[in-house]
Amino acid sequence: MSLVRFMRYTFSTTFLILVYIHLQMQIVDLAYQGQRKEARIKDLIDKNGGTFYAISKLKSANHLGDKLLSEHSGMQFAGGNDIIYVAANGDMIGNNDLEQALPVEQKPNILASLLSFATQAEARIRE
Amino acid sequence: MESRRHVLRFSLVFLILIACLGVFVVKLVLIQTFRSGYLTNLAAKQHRHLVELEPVRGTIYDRKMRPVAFNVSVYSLFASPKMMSEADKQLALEHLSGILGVGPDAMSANLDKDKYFVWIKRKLPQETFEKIQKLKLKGLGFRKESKRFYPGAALAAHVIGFADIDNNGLEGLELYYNKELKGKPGWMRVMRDARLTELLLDNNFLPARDGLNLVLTIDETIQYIAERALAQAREKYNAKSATIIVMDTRTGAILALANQPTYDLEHYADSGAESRTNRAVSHVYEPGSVFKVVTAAAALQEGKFTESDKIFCENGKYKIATNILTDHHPHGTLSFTEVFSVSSNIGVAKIAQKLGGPTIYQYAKKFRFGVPTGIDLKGEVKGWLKDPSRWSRTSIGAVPIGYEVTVTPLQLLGMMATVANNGTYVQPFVVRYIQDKQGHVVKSFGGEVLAEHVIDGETARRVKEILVGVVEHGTAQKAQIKGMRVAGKTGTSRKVIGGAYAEGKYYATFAGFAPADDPRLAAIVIMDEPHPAYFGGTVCAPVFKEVIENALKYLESSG
Repeated sequence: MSLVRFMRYTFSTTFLILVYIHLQMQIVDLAYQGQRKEARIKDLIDKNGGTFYAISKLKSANHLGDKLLSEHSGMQFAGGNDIIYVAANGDMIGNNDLEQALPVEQKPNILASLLSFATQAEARIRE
Repeated sequence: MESRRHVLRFSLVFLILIACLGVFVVKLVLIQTFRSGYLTNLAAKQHRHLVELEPVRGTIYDRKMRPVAFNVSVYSLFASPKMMSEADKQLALEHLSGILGVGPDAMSANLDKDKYFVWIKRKLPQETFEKIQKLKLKGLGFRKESKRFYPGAALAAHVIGFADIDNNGLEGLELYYNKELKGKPGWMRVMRDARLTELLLDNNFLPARDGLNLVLTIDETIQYIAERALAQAREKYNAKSATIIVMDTRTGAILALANQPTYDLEHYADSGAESRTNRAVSHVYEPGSVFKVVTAAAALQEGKFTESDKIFCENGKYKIATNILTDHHPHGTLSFTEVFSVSSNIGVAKIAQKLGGPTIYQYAKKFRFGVPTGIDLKGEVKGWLKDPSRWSRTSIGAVPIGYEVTVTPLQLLGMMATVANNGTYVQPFVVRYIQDKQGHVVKSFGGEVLAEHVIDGETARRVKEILVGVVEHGTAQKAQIKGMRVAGKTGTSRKVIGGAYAEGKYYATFAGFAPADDPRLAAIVIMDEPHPAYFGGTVCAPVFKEVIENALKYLESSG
């Protein structure tokens, strides 16, 4: 085998090895990035768990009941007699679109949109 | 001469090097031959680390999917005393005692241990964790764990129960369904470098299988209504303890179950055994007049009496064998219906005498007294129903009016629900279904008919009418709800203490259902030693009224 040929094989083999090593490094690097992101997500999930607990505690019948139905509160459960059913006119029946519930002239608030401060109804319309 | 000296010096150095090499070779051979196993293990221990993956315990929801028990990740604080200097320990002591509220002595005892790992405090609140993390104390670390939270605090405490720090159920449903809720732990083998940083190489793992979720029949709102009314009544009547159960008559689903005294699930360690006892299923007592429903049902079903039959109530005193039976108010002649609405002991005893002991026993058995209801709660007891062959001569005047028989509050409610349900006994239950994390139903429960014809539909209707009479004209007028007919029966029984009836100590009971014409809810209220008032119709019936009225309104408006 001539020296030139040997050198050519050697260079190409070395090049391929370098490419392979580079790719492996990329894979490991991406894996570490993924691990960091996973840790971040887990952290957010944990924080979400804590917030969920705080909300659940505030929403619990125990908490709400103690606030609303205190000893001298006149608050009562609404019975069938306390609920007034209003007959809807023909135009409204079958036109239960949520857009109806929002003022037409309402302009979107950019800051609120960015911070996701939109109402649930707005969010559903955007879907 | 000069060159010879060089050769000698060279040879000497060469020999020393060869000797050194020889020593290394021998050492290597020794290591390789004799210590390879030990050292390989040591290296594996350092580099390979087996981590147990803790499963997330399943969530418990109420019937409207409101979480009543769930797990959240929290951090536990540990120390490595062997890796801490005296100064580090001192610093940790100074800062942590105040934050954790642990005495310096206890803390110091932990830090003085000759160990690499000791728990300082497990499952810290988030704000405490953040405070300690900011201190960056040497030799301290955090480990993430999963902690059980109960947002309702004491709400439905006796149904839900609690799990310990290691997520093992110890009481209530947490114990009964521990296997389902707990899940299965997994493991992960990770490679670590010399600095114990995890490497993403050669990781083997078996994922943990998270626990299943429970969806209960308990409704958080009705539970709150029941607990609030019960606590207020217990306080008003100075009762030692009290119990309430609300059941859907058609399905047997328990919508609320509460006992007083109760306890906070998040601080269960501070509670006593007395407040943790689920008296609704674990406590037996002589029910008194509520049991007369069995006698009424037996009499009508057997065709031995009609509602208009007249019974002479002996003007308040009636001798049965050696016992003299009395009524609270003396009565003359009463109709069959009136006997129950005024709860005449003598009238009922006379009805029972005509029916005979075996018939009463047979119907009590049919209403499932003396056997557990089979509810999915730990600690249910079966009560005591004596076989007629062992009755004394006075038993015929005792059993039919609710003495010489012991029952649980749930058994009594089962009887009342059976009347409401046209004679069909449906098994009470508290878990509607078990679901996996994706929300698929794994197993569902409920609606199991334990006895189809305890009494027939027509007899049930007639008993209902008698029970409506009890509320409308009899002893339970305080259970009346405006705009609907209510059926029920009161009971006031003497308490046995030390094998004898105690003077002035009573159990007060009211069990009923509403609306009487199309029963939806049945409930029982029991108070132990209420005073000064102690009649079931006075202390328990108003609780029934408040709870059922509000619960029906709530169900009507929320579906």
